[in-house]
Amino acid sequence: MTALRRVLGAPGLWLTIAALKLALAFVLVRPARAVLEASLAPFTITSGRSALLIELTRIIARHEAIAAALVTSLILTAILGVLLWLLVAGAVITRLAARRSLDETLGASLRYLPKIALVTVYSLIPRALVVFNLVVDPLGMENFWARLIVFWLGWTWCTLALDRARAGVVLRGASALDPRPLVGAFLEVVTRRRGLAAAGVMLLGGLTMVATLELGVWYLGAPWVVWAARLLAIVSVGLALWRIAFAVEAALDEGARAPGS
Amino acid sequence: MFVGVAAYGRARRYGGPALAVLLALTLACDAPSVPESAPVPEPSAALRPPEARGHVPSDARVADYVIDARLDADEHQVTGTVRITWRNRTSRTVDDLQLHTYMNAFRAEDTAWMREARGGHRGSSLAHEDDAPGWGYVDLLAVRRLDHESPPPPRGASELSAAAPVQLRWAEGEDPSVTRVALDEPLGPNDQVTVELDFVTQLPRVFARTGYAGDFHMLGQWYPKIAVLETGGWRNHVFTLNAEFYADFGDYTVHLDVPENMIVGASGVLVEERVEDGRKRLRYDAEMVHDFAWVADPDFVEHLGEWHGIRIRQLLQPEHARDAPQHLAAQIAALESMEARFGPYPWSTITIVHVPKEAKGAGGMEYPTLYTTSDILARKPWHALVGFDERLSGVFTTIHEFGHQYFQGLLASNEQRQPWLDEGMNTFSNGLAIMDWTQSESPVVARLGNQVATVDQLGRLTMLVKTDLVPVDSAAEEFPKLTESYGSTVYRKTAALMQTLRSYVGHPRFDAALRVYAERWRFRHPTGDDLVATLLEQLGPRATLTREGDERVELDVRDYLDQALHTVRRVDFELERVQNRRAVSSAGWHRDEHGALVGGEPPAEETSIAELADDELEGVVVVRRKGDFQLPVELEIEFSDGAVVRRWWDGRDAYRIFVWPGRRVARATVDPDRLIALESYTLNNTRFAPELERDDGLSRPIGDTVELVELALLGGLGL
Ligand SMILES: [Zn+2]
Repeated sequence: MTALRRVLGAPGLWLTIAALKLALAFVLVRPARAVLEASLAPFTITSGRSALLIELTRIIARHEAIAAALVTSLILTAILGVLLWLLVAGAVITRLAARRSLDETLGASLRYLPKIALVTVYSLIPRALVVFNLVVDPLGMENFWARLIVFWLGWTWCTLALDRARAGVVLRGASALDPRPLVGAFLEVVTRRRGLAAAGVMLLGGLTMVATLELGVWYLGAPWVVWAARLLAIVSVGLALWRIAFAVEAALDEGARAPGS
Repeated sequence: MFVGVAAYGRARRYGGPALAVLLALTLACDAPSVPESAPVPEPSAALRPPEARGHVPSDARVADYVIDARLDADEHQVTGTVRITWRNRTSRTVDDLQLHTYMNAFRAEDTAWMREARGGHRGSSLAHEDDAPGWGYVDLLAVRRLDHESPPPPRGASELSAAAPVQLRWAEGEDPSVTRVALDEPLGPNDQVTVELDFVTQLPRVFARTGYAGDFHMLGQWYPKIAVLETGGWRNHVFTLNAEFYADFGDYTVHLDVPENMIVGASGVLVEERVEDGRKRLRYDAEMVHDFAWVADPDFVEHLGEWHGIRIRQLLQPEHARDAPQHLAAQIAALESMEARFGPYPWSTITIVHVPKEAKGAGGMEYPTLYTTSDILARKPWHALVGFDERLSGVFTTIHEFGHQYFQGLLASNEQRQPWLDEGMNTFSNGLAIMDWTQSESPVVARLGNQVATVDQLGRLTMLVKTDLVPVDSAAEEFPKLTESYGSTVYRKTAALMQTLRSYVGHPRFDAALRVYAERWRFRHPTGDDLVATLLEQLGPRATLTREGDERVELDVRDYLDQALHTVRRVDFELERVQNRRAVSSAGWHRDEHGALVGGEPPAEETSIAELADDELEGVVVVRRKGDFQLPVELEIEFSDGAVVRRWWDGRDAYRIFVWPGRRVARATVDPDRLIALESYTLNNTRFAPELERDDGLSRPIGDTVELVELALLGGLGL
């Protein structure tokens, strides 16, 4: 079965995660929005769409709590985003590997959570290096674009290796405590053609994220823009599942090759 | 000359994200280079030809200087002699001469300047990791009076130190930034005296306008300078943190002796240059200026331009040489705007100095025919991705510092006594210059994606804080550093109060009045009263704001200027109420023509306002003057049928109620045309009637944007 077919065969999984993501964003922004509304009421701003940031600055200068509410909302989202994907990882891998009942799928989420969290923690070390290189530039790569490309390649590599290691934990019962499977995964994803395909899908996911932010920057205030972002969010969930499906295929292949399986 | 402008315009056009990325990639690959500039010869005279220079009154010439100075670039020291010929143009007789010895402000921790600054100035600090102490001072070695019966000595270094001088005594004041020289005989009205002073100036490490950083030497406030004698006596202020300068006009002949490798820029024109024994000897002449500054750095790259016979010379750091055309474009735009608005620029040169990054403290400072600017913010590739662009850094500094050639260079007010007359009026004129340059009434100076910021918007934002502590018309020392009120009040609030007045009386009328001020006070020392008097004379005491037929509302110009300049009152109007209510009906008992009670209809039933017909209700708007600044304000009212009316309110009382019988009010807006630049908090200026459910215009788009960022963050890209 191809990776894409695995994703298309699990529309419930896709839509559930997408719905979780949309709901999370929708809910997390409400308190900040309420603070903003309360600070502005009962007045209306009519200075036009191109002055929204100026007006936001003006109201924050008077009501500093708005800034705190906005920042809190974003930080909370970042944290919950990581937790969300940690939580669903077991279910995603289990469901993409084969058709399972709802109970089994949900159970996998919780059962594998500690192990998946542990592998994820290991993967933070190379990720830190990748971020360090982008921000601090210890190698003296002055060209920003070159540094960005290196960052993206490094980040993709870490992500694919983590996907592969997680799939190993869930589908092959690999040890999560032992970092060697993760190291092996780093090697595997760059030596197989499947890794290249997964990297391509990852790039599409990255572009989806950039496209979302660019929409926000260039069309700030347009009433349709949040709907476009929601649509892109659903697409990006599909792309993330597709990427993970490559790791699932790899783990299943390993199983097929391994003696006695 | 205008190639620079065109190129600048092109780089600043925004074609959306894709084009932006391309632009960023091109910029990223572009190596720094020095743009070519056509050779422009040094003018032969420091003033422009008579037909171009405008009026230069001969009686404004009070203090002439001949200076001979030698720079020791290793010790960062200047030794020199200055000969000052000073004319007493007042009706007073004086028995002393008062000198500014500005450089002594940097001599120790306990000078008036350092005490207020506590070692820092605009983010730069005197403390430094290297061993050099970094202090600056000017030490007088000798003061002598030359025979004033003989004709003024011919100019030239060799002529300095004439024979048979009378040695004079001098003493530093309580603060070493002022020095008093006792004359051997009193000096009466119209008398003139020539004194010669030997001095050594130790430059401080640059942190506040003047000094050295490596091989870079900025020589401002570097020689003993005579104070201004007014009818009330000497105006010799102690140099403090915000107190800038005040001096009389005169001619300068300055001989400089510097290491051969130095590239020098100075006030005035270069008339002689010789190289011998590893030293370069230069002579500069400046006419009808009130200060002389110079700069020396072996690393300077030169870029030349020209505008109507004015030689525009830029001295750039090599790493910023690429920015020269943009600064030139801004300089030319400023010249065009300022000449048209405030009369001819009288001098034949203008030198723009770009200071190295170690000498940031010297950047953004004006001297006659020479100023230092700041760097244009380097464009990062990601700026294009987020659509970031601005013309505030560098370019704005160039416009601002050039503006000072008028607001203090020509209109030489006392910067210590009334700093708003130069910094504030200049900031106001900079806004006009940018309007003229961009041919827009609300020029955009910064962008981020589809968001823009105009001069007016940024000005209002900076005025949100600390403009209600010290009145605008205060002396420099009255703005303690601890209040952080100097910049927002002196620069921004002055600009805003002038902008508001301009909008209220009408642009052509105001511009003409200011033109009269600029022409009348060229080469003089105007005070705030002089400016106010000119404005009152030209604008009249009152300006009618209302249209023919409306209830008359006028702006009392004097009262407005009084409040704006001499009080800390704030402008803030708020819509207290915008609503519709049931009109009074004829229900109930009334007497008829025979005196009998008739009628007796029951009271009208409680009906929701939304359901009432227009003729059963009345629209009500209550506008409140929340700030204590009393100012007429215009209101715009929109009715539910789409009709829009405007009304003026004199703003004297604390509130005003407007009622429209039989009309349903939909919306009201205070100051709909945003004429009151002094009002920084404008978020309470528009309100809708409650029965018209309305989005507040900000929470939804900002909420949506935050949600969008959150959706991007939740992308599942890897963790
Ligand atoms: Zn200034």
